[in-house]
Amino acid sequence: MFTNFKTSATKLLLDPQNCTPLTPKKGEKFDIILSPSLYWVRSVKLPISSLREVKKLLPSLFEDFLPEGNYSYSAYKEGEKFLIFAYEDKEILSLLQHYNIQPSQINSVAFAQDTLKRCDFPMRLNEAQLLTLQDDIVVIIPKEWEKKSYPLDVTRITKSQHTITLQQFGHIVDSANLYKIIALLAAFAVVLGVELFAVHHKTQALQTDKQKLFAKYHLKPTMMQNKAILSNYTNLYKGQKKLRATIDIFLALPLSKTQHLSLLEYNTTHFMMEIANIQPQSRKKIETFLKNKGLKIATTLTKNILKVEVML
Amino acid sequence: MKNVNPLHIIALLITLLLFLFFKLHQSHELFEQSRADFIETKKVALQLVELQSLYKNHARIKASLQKILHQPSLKDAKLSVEFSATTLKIRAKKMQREVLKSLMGKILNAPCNIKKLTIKRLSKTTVRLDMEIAL
Repeated sequence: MFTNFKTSATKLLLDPQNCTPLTPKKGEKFDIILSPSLYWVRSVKLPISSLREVKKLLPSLFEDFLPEGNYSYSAYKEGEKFLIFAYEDKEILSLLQHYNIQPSQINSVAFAQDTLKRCDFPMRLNEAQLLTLQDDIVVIIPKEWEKKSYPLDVTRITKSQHTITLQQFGHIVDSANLYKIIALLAAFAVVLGVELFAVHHKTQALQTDKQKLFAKYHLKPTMMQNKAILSNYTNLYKGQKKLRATIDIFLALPLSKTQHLSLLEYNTTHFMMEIANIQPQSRKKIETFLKNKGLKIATTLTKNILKVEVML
Repeated sequence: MKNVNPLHIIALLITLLLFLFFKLHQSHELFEQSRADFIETKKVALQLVELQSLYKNHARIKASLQKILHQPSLKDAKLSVEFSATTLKIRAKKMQREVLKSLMGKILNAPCNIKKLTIKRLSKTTVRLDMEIAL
């Protein structure tokens, strides 16, 4: 582990052999340099010039070389060749966790291949291993293979242009699938947004139509006033309808030749009729007839005159 | 980790979706309420217009009653007719039963507001009438 406090982010060479946990300051950021033991690298010459096309081929280019695992891939062009990389996010993240570095504290992650290429080799990586260049590839060799070695001087390390992004859940969900989910959710959000706009627009249109109704039918400003007026008119209409229906019922009374209606009195609260020449047995017949017609009545028989009060 | 984590975008989108669902639910409720209000307003307006055309159009009611009162069968009835700004009073101290039948048949079929009605039998063929209609 080597640190440099001159820049805003602390450079850290991440190597499984150096396992001393750190005590990072609050808000401290790290530029992570991956030791060659944390990735696989190949230098390949391909009949394709587009890096985008090469990235699609990366899993198949490593297919026969890698042990079982969940790998992420990266590549960049160097001269006429492509340097292609495979690495396990989970392994790197668990090592970072061992160093007490949270994913939010990571400023950048780069490979030693690109970052250390311009340093002096062989270079001391840890107590037992050295870094050296072999066919332009940074590799790890045992310390005993070289007599002379240089210390790793982080002040000479320039920040790499070829950084990678670690996928925290890349081993669970493929990032391509994550982007599909994002696209799906975004599309759904757009649909909901459009629906929201449409419903809002329809509501506005209804409220405008309601205002037009008020103007067209000269309604009072509030519905309470309009309902009160309507209630008055409805009661008036029902009352008048009932008056006419009641008169019709009285005119249809089954009276004998000697019996006749002698008085009819109506005002808004009271409706009364008198029928002359009624015997007690006829009274019952008239009462039954009126009740069968749905009238609520009260009767009194005085001197053969039947007085019928109708409850309005 | 300068790039935005896709999981953060997903979390943000899910939050946005939940918010949109909530707003959409509210908007649907508001729409249903507005629609119910509109339907009710239209119903009240139509009923009001219909009933007002029956009872509020004083000139039409007055004209219709005058037409009834000027029919030939009532010429000999000696009716006392009093028009005021708000009421019409029709009185007959003595009138033929058949004439009353004709008059009442027409008035009861007219859309007018009968406030008071008294019919008293005087004899087998005559009656007394006292009626008040609101204008």
